[in-house]
Amino acid sequence: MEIFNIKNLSFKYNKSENYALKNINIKINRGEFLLLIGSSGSGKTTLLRMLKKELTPLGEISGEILFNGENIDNLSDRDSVSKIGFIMQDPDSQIVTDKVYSELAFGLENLGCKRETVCSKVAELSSCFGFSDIIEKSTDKLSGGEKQLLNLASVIAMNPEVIILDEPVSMLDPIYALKLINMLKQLNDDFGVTVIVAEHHLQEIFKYADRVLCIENGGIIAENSPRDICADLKDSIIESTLPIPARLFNRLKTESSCTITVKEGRELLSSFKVSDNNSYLELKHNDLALSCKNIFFRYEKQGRDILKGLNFNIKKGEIYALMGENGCGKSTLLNVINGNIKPYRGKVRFNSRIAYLPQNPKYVFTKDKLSDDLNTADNKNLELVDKLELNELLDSHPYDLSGGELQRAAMCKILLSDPDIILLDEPTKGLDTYAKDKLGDILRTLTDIGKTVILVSHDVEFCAEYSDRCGLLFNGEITSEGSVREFFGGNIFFTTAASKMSKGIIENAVTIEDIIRCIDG
Amino acid sequence: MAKNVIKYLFILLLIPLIVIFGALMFPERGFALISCALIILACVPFFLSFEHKKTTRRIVLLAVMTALSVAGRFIFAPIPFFKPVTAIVVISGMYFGAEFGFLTGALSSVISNFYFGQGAWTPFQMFSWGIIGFFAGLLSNQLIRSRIILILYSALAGVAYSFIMDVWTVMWMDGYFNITRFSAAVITALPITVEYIVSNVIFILILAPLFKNKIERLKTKYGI
Amino acid sequence: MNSFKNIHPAVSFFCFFFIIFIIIFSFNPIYLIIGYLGAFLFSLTILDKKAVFKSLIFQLIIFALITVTNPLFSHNGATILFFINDNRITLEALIYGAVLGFTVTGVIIWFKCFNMVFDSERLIYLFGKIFPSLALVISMTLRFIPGFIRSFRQINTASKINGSYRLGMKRFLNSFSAVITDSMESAIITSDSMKARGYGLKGRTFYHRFKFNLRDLVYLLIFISAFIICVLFKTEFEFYPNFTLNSINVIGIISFAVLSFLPFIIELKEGVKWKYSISKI
Repeated sequence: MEIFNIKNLSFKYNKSENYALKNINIKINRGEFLLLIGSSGSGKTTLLRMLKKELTPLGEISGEILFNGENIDNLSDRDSVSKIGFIMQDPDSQIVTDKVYSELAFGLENLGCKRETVCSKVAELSSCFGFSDIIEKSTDKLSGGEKQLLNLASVIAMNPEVIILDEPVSMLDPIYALKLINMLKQLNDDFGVTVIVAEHHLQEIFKYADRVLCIENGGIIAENSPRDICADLKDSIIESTLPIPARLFNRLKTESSCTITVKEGRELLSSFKVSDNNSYLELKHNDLALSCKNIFFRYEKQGRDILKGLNFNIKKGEIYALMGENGCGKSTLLNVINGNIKPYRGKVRFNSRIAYLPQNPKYVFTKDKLSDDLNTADNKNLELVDKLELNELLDSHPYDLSGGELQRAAMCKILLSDPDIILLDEPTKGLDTYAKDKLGDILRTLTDIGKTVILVSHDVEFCAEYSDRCGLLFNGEITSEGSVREFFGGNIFFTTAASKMSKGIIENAVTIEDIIRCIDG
Repeated sequence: MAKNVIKYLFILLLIPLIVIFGALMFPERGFALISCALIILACVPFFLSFEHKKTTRRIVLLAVMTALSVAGRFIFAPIPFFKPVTAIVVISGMYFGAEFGFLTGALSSVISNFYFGQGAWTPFQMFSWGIIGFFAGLLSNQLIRSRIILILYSALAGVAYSFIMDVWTVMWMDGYFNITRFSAAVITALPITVEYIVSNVIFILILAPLFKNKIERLKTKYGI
Repeated sequence: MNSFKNIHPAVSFFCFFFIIFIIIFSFNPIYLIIGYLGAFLFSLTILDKKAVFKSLIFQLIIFALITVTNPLFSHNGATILFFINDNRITLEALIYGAVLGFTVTGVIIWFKCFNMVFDSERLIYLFGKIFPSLALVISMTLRFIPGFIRSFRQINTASKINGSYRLGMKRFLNSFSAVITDSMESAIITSDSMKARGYGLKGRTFYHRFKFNLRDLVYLLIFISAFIICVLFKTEFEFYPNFTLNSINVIGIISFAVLSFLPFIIELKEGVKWKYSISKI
């Protein structure tokens, strides 16, 4: 039986000309794992919010949504709260209270559960989610990944029949993203909870989905099993978000069924004849733009060294990607370079202007209108605005922009001072593939005119695609460093999906393009 | 419901009972006791009425306004005596109503003392900030319309805050209103009072238009 | 390891309330000495020793200041020491000042202990028993504050490095304004999250992690009766015109000693018990 039955649903926001959703018909089965994909602004979030009546946006609705065969409007408030769980993208703002245990209890208190019931539920959940060590902590002290797991746990506490998640992992680092996705899988498999999730980071989640639904411009353009939808989406704008093995499959001429995991990709590749002589043109940058010598840094006098004896040289005109696990000191290093914090030993040398984009791009805006922030009264600035395609957004409030637009606007803002070295902290966080590619192109244009880019990222695919050199920060030092192909080709675990698939078959192939180039015929 | 009545009777009776008991036993400090009790009792109606009129939006907004005023104390820590608390409390009363203003003020005091330490002054500080927010709410039409009245009010708020705290100090020390000690307290606190006034006026001039824009934006965007 | 903390918050709250009440309002030198000693011993067990001695210096300064200045405000008293500008400086006023100074320092040190025992969880609990919605507001405020400060730092750093505002003050205000915008926007998400999780349904309960057991009841009864006894059987004093002690009331003194030393004794007892149980292993 279906848990949701959406019939002829259309929706138009107040003060908007266009329909955000157009005539949507979907049946979602009980116990299904449904994945929703589509570019930003396609209507995914609107659709998900329609399913939870507390969050339904203001606007004109037609059609109906049945939950367990009953119109969702007739569902009692209590049932709607407890049976339908909802998790949003931003891990931080969803948290209500100051302590982990009180956050877990929040929903149960609202439902009027007795103290004993809440007590045992909190205990059960914290042992299930591994929160025993953090249960008394302030929610503020948690990492983004822990916060999102906490959000999931506090929704699960109410024992929902279905959980709806709106891009739950896009702000998380890869380790926690994987943890959360596995948790969803387990909830779905073991407890029969229906999972409806919108996401554009598909590498891990794709294979778990029972069905994938693709939405564009408020309408469903494809609906199929993960394996079959890849072919349906071939050459559509959404194709670039598909997992790497599926994209590789779409590029190869083959009769076999679509590959969605790395393992299947490897099998597929080994059936092809490949050419060995795989040489790449590597750009040589010679002039030194910035150098760090023997940097030592710690936050507290008695604390441990975050950076210890770090040495690091950046050449003029290159894109350098600095990688490493959470908390290894990547952001600290950026702050040392930009002069915000001073190392207690060692020197940073450069003789040029630096610009810095913080992890959250909205933090560079302080005004209520984009044009005020970008100071467009100055004609010189308009040129840059034009280049970054921000003309139409100038009257908007910075907080109303989509992730990609915000990122571009923030780039524009930091480029106004005409810097020579640009520091970016996790620039791809929360972006969809389209926005990432756009950002990559901007970075390329910048280096073409002689600027230098240093970025910190978890995003191996982006770094492999757009950077010139990569370095791994571990234990306060750069432990391995090299050109993109040396770096990812040499790594076994910390590398791209393309490199994992082609290891042992093609040497040093780190992107799909690298693989395609070596395939004969 | 019955449980609630008992609860409220408990606080409304307990405080007067302790006061009467104390005033009988320590007659020489009766004034101080009664003023202290009155201050605490004055907060109760505001707290009670909030319990009955709460909505999700009001709860979140109250938490945000209070958090902004307390965070402001930390953020502007490098600049001594230059604190936005009073200005934010005034703004809170001005745009969200008298009761809301009182609560922002009173909670700002309790919560900032989580960080800076609770003391015997906590109830008085709660009351003084609360009452500043309360009157800002009552005068909200005038304050929104006229810049001059707004400036005057926030300057006055600085004076009132110092005044209440000084009265409290004197009452506390002598058990009655010792005019010599009070004048000494006022004179020694004069530079600080002046700094309060200056910082209140500066902050209100900068923050009031900001909040106006931000609140209007939320109104149009989310229909609050 | 803080075993006074294990007592139910309502009970420990009354303990602090009674002691501070008596210190402020009794104005009784004997009570003050006992109360101060109790607090001092208690603070040595629960606070960092360095912090206790640091605070001691501060208290000494306050004490001296109040003692010395009091004769300037009060010219009552029979024993004249000397004159300043035709104003009498009397021994009684000096004694009164000393008692006043002792009151202030006593309150300071007891509040230091109070702040150590009463963390936000305990205060939210006490508040929440009477005003549950406001307790939620406090909890949410405490959750927002560190986040706001952190976003301020990031905004401020970004605008410092990207050179939008060279002037510190202007940059501070601009960044603060951005924090206001940011906080209002994220408040919308928070309230969505609250509604999604059912805030506003009828019959909300209040979850806490405290249990009221027999031991708490015993302590509560001890505290209440000690308080009533030491208020009823107090020793009378007169400062003016001559400092006189009317009659020493031993019952009152003993019961106040019980009240103000009990926190220290509870703390000590648990510590000894723990050591003993460790040595048995």
